Amino acid sequence: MTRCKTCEEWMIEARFDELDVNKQKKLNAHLKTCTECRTKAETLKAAMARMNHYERPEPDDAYWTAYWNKLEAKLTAQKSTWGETIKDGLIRLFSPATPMGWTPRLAFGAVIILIMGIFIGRTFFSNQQVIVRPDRGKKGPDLFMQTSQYVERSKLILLGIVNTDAESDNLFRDNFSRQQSMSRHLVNQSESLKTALAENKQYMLRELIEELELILLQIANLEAGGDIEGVDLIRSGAESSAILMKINLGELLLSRPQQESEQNKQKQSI
Amino acid sequence: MTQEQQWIKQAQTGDTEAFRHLVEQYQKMVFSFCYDLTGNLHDSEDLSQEVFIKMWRNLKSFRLEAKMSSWLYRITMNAWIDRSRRKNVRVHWNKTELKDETLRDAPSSQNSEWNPEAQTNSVLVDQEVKAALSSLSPRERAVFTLRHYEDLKLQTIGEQLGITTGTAKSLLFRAVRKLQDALSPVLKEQLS
Repeated sequence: MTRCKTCEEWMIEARFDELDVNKQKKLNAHLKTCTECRTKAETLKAAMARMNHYERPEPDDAYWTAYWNKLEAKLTAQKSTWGETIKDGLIRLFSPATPMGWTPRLAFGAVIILIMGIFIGRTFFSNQQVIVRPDRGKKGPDLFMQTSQYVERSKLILLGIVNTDAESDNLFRDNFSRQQSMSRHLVNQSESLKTALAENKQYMLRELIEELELILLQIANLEAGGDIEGVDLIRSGAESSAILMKINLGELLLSRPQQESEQNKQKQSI
Repeated sequence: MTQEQQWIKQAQTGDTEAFRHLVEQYQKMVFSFCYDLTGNLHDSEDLSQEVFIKMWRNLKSFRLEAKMSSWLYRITMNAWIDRSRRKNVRVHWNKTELKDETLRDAPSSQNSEWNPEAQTNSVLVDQEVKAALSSLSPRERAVFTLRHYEDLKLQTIGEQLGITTGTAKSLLFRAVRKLQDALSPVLKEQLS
């Protein structure tokens, strides 16, 4: 005997021609015997028929001409931004169609590589990054330790959410109350942490905390009872902002001063 | 090579005229989907233009054997999610605006003889339907409109929106239940 709950889902699938033949037969048999489900099926049919009255606007040709003009203007404006101008310039420079010898092209390429090297060196390997003034505003664990804990905890929460299986029913039953309370706790810490990082000129870490704070806020605001849409938003947001990669990079930055501080302690004890 | 593939190839080299042909080919599809998501004309224009700008920027990475419509649906959905994430938008169909918009749009669709009663009734039903749709979340709305109005299979919807078929199915179930709830007073009257 097919249960009414299952039949309700099959009814929706059947309405959209997504139900396989065997299940359709079982559903038909059930509907013959169950008055309640028959009423539900009729309501569903009426509701979907009602939804057919939906009308989308159909703009005329004049609208579409104006539409293209606006779009073209936006594309031109986009092209005139610095990024596009530089990109276009580089494409033109290295295009075989440009009448220029290979020596100036190679020289220009070398200059770009040099600039990139300096930028990467200054950003990731500069000693200036690890000279940190003591955390003026706070006592207790030092700034890096605190940031490191914040990042580690956020990562754990985020991984828990991102790895939730959207297809299983658990999503609807689970609520993320533990992750939400941890998120709220971390969000409360973030303002003072950001200020301390800014004071210590740790701008990359500050930016990371800022991004994590946004995600943690989303987690804290998930609706009870399995907010599938909210979880999907967090997941796609995490993907598009490559936050996990940024966390790894942040952990790399954070591990250096900690190692140095341990080395200093060892030296002092010797 | 089809005409569309030729336009894509030309547009990939920066040919705006070829890009214009592509926009003309897909503007109605993208615009309608944007309207389903945003619920008003102004935002659908804004969002659809953002989609075409993203399409222009990323066209070089588009493979000719892929389906342009799928790619555009996905860009639209992602652009919409980005927007709602930034603005934290959840309800988009403002009822006052909805009423004005429906009444403003009404004369353009009247080709039949003047019948005030039928006209008023049609506007009311349209409002009911839009109000019911406004109870859905962006993703539920996307899946429902693609399935119900565009007649796309759940598997295709999943592929186009970058979600699994199971998630698409769950979203459709939730959407249908919410719509039934929203329409229940009207349906009770109708069925009794």
